Amino acid sequence: MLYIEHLNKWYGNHQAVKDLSLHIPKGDLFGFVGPNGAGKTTTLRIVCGLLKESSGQVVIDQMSRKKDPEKIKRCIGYVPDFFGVYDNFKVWEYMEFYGSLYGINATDCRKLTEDLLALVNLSEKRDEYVDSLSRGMKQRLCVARALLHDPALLVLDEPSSGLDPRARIEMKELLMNLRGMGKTIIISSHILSELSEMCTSIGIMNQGKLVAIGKIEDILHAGAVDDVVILEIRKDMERAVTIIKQMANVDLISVMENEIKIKYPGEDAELNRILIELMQQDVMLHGFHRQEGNLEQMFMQLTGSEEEAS
Amino acid sequence: MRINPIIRKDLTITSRSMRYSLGMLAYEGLLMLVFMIAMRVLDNTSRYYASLNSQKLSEFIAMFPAVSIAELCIVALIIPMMAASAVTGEKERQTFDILMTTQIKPMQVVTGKMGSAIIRVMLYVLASVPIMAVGFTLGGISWWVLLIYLVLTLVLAILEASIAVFSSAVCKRTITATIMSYLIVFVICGLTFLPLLMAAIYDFALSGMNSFSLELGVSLATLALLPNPIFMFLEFYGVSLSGGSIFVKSLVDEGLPFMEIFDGGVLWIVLSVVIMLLISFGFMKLAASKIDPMNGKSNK
Repeated sequence: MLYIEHLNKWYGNHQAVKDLSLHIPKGDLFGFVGPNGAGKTTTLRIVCGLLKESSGQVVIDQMSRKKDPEKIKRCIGYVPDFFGVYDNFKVWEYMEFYGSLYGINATDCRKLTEDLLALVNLSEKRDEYVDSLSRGMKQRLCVARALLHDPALLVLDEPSSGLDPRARIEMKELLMNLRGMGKTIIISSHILSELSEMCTSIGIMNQGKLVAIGKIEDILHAGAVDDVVILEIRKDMERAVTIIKQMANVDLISVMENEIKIKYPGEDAELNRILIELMQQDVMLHGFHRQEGNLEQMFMQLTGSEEEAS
Repeated sequence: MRINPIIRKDLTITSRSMRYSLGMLAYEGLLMLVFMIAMRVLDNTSRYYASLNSQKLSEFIAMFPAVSIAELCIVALIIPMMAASAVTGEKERQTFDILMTTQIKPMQVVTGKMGSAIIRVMLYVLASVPIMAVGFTLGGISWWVLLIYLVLTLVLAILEASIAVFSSAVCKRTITATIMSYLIVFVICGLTFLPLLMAAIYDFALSGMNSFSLELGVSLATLALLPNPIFMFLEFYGVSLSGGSIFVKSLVDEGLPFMEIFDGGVLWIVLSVVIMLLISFGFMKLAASKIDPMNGKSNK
């Protein structure tokens, strides 16, 4: 569906996007994650034709952005992070205005407007002025507007920013619906938990570079937080803590009622040594498990190490 | 024929705007005031002439230039204000990006924005036609003169709207774009006079030599006034009210070379219109190129 190859973008002497390459297959819901200034918005704006790349290329549905810029516009629906409104413009007029910009005739546009407003749950608002809608409703209306020309690719830049929890959930449900309808969606967001719930794959950007890309499980597995283990202790908690504190290369992270969280060098042999030592000292070890990684930790790990390196 | 969606959208929004209606009211009120003052002055004049020879009702023909010049001044001031927010307004309310991701072409955005500004101004102008027509009903000017006046006003509106949309495409804020528009209009209306002034001073300083090349220089400097709407309307008033050129005639009388081709004044008006439309087209192309994201700098 979308291929980005060796994309670079310079602003004067500052390189905002560094040799970015990625492929998003059809029907994927791809999450773009990264701290502020990572280059996410720049990349999305280049994909949408709002910025000219310094080098590299963007191919959507086998059409090159450089060769077929007009055809490509028909393939993309864009939802920016901020919803700008025209004063004195009604919801249906807003939809029909954008429909006419895509050359959709008035009759078809009216039908599409009804269908799309129903899809985003705004049918009862069709005769209201756009500026009277809540922010969440405006954002849903913006998604409906972006779907008017039935684009193959939907690009959403921070669609949930500034939304209250209810509006966020509604937006998430809407995107899941669209994914179910076979739309390819790219979404950039800071809300990692939200992305991890709905995205099929993610790309983590930092300082203009794509530092990780793939399915969320694969990324979490590749960079799993496998040096932290939680030991479940049935009794002799104090003794267990004392033994662990005396062990070389082991850090005690936290002690809870029946659990001790430790950090060790991460090798299996080292974990064996710790467990054997505890059992030899008659500590009633009930079980152990590695701490599960999550997107937040992964994100901090990847973006933090990049920042340190720079 | 499909109407440019931007014109339709802007006019829908304008039609619901109280500001536009109040603006129209203020505009008509101002013209009415000029009309009343002119009426009073001309009434006194005609009474004076009537006491002498009782046949000067046609003095009221001067009502037309008095009101129309007032109207032109207002129109010239209004257009940059209306059109300078064409692009900056969209950027300020953050609707520009969405607009540029649709299938509308940059030139359609420019023509749409210009079109809506021109239509709004021409609605003002058309609303004042009844006031203008008083000059007609009292005798003197014909419907043709009124029609040509409207066409020339439209040309002025196109020129100023193209300048304002260009400024809007270049600037980041509406206020800056408005100031820039006025500056460009000032350059066209004020500074195009400079070459003629300098050539005339030079010619006067060396008047003893009476050289052909000096006079040719003055003639060429005069051509710099062709894009100047002030001189276009000056010639229009000359041709329509006194039956001949005002400004160019004085140059022909001075014996300047090649000026006799403009003697009747009509050619000057036609050339002015053509040049102004060409300049407008140039500004439109520049504006379209400026707002096209794919024409932006790619850097390195």
